[in-house]
Amino acid sequence: MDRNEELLIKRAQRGNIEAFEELIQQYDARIMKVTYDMLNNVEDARDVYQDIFIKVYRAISKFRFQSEFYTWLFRIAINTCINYRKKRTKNRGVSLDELQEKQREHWELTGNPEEIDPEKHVLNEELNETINQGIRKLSNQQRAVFVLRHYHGYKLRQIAEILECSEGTVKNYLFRATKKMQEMLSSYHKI
Amino acid sequence: MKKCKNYSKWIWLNFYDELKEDQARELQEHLNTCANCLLEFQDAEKTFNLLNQKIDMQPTEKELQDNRSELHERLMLAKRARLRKEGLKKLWLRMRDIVSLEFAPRYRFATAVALLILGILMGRYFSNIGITASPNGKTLTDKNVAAVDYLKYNPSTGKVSVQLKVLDEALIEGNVDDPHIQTLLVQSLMTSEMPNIRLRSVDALATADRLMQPAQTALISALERDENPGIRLKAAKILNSLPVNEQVRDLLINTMIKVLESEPNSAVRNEAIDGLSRMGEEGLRALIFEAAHLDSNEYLQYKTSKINRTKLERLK
Repeated sequence: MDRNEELLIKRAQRGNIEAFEELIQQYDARIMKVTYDMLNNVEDARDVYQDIFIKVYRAISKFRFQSEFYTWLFRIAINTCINYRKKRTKNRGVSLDELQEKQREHWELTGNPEEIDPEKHVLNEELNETINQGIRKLSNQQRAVFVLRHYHGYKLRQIAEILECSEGTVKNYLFRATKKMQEMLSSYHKI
Repeated sequence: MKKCKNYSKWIWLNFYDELKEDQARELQEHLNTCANCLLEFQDAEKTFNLLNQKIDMQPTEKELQDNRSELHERLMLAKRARLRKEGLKKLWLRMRDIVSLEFAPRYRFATAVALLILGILMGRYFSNIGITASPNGKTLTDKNVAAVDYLKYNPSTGKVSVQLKVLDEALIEGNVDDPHIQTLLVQSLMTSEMPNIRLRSVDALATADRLMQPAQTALISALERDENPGIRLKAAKILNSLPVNEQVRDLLINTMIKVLESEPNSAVRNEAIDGLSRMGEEGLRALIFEAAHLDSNEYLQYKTSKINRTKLERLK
């Protein structure tokens, strides 16, 4: 944790909203993306984004600098997503097309748009949906581990810290998740 | 040598670069000799590559900004709720201290019962007190006041005339320093739907030589809740011109903080800065500086930085 971050946390702990906002703006885009990957719904991701940071604001005075700030922050984010999923087992009654439309409206492709091959992109959409379906079938823990490792690049040691479990447990979750994903994508192996 | 089944997990860990060097070497050696595991490796590799083709999306800058703005609003509300909670906690602790310090433990229960009885008696007493100005020789209580229709105040004579609906209409006249008239003015300020009546009530209260505590509380309430910015501003000005009353000091500070944080009118916020500054509390000064630093009004930003500079110079 760098000195600037430490100072921002201490100011935020004294109730300074400006410092709190400066602090979280270093992470909120990543949190938003993890939230989306966990919930697979733009609207839900938006609601949960608010819940996460309000929780963080209320709890920041209890942060004791015994772990990295991002570990603590991601722990709150993942737990909030898991609890949200438990409470909201059904979607909001919107179709898949509507969901995709909403995502296109508020989200954009990463990377340089000129480098994205439109033809390949269309072909990928079907694969993309199969992957999303696969992710939706994972248990909460498997999903968290898989998303954080595969799409966010966190090491298993970091994920273990975030989820407050052993590295061995995280390895098991990842293995089971990848096996399920392999099953989902088996039809693509022949192509 | 491990059994083939155990290498399955290692195959996946290998893709994620999570195997130790010797483990990676052992896996490689096993794959060189085991056709089944090699097939499994190739299958897993295909899946791994397919998973990497997932379309990577990120929120647009606008989406992020919208979320941040919404969060800002919610944070301000959360902060206000926290301040209110802390204020109540402080009040509770103070009351608890009074009870536990003044009385020995064995008398505490008796004290609590006595306070309860006292509370009931006071409630009864105050519920019977109303506005006791006397229109046409009749005693008027606030139970039979239906609405205030008209209010006139003469600054040169200090005379207040209130036309109100009781069972039938009545005209009450008296001096602004009369507690009964102040009670009527408070009622007008708190209940009238007409802004001109509320404004005149505030004007009249401003000229009283001695303002009763309910009148001060009503002005604080008007500062926080009245929908008319002119009335809020006038209430703030009067409160700032009065000596600080210890009995309403905490309420006044909490209200001024709320005003500073959420009042849309900059002139009212300006009065809140003046009001909080004169309290002379170190913590409040820091709070004023923090809130006004974020204020959209440049004059308020300049003013608070000047207050802070003067304070620093004094410290030097």
